[in-house]
Amino acid sequence: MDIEIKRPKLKLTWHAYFNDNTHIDQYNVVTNTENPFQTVLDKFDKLVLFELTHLYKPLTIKVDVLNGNILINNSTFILNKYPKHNIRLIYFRRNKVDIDVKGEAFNHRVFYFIGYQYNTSKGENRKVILVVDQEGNMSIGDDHDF
Amino acid sequence: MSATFQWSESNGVSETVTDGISNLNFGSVDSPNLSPSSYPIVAGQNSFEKFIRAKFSGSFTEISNMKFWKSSGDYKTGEVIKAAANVSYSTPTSSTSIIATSDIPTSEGSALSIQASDGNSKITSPGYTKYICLQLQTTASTPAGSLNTKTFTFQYDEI
Repeated sequence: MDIEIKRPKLKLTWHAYFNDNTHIDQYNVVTNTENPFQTVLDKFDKLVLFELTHLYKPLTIKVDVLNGNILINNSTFILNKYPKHNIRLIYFRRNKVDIDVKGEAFNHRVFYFIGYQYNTSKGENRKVILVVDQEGNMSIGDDHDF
Repeated sequence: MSATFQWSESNGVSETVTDGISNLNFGSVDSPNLSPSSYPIVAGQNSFEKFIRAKFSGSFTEISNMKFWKSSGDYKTGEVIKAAANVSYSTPTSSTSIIATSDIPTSEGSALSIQASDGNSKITSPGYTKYICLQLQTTASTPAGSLNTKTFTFQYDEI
């Protein structure tokens, strides 16, 4: 029996805003198409704000790439007030797909990693990452968690 | 579009590829989606090797950080699953595998690192990973009856 296992429907979608007053949405609801993240990477040096919005819950997470802040539902989460240099967005989706031996159960889980990395005044690289599951539950972690 | 993930299994001398397999049942026949009760493994013998891959289709920017491990399911006495990652396809055998010779990792921290079919660590266009070879091995002391269900997990990061 062949079964095509597709990824779960993404419940959080991204929106990217640039310093040339343009923005790119992951989904274009007019054309019913999806923009690849490559379109953000192509303008990465112009990125000022990156936003994840939950489709079904009142949850919006924004990364202020200019100042190194994370805003959750427009409340600013400030890690520290030390100067941050060379701030860069972190965003990817971690997928975990199970397959059973004996049985036919599948489980495809998606976690959204969103945050930024920066250099301290001493040149050290630091990361600030929120991990969000499909239901909008959040944890503070790093890219080795989950 | 984001990536679409499928498990794929290869079987036979001339390699028949089955994408979208529904389970990873081990047994005494070289076949995908087999029924263990129809093809039981005699205690002291091995299952046929399984050669599986992850297949990514659709449109995506990059797949990376691919890992594979046994995430749940206890062994019974004398039972073990051997594994090898990033191998080439070979006709599956029920003789003791000379490809899958290491115990499969049982935690994400020690998971097998999986490569794209071209040997790179990242996939940027639709395609397969390299093969993972698995074999369930038993001893004469392995009790008769059903073994415990095991779950394997494949992890990847996508942008």
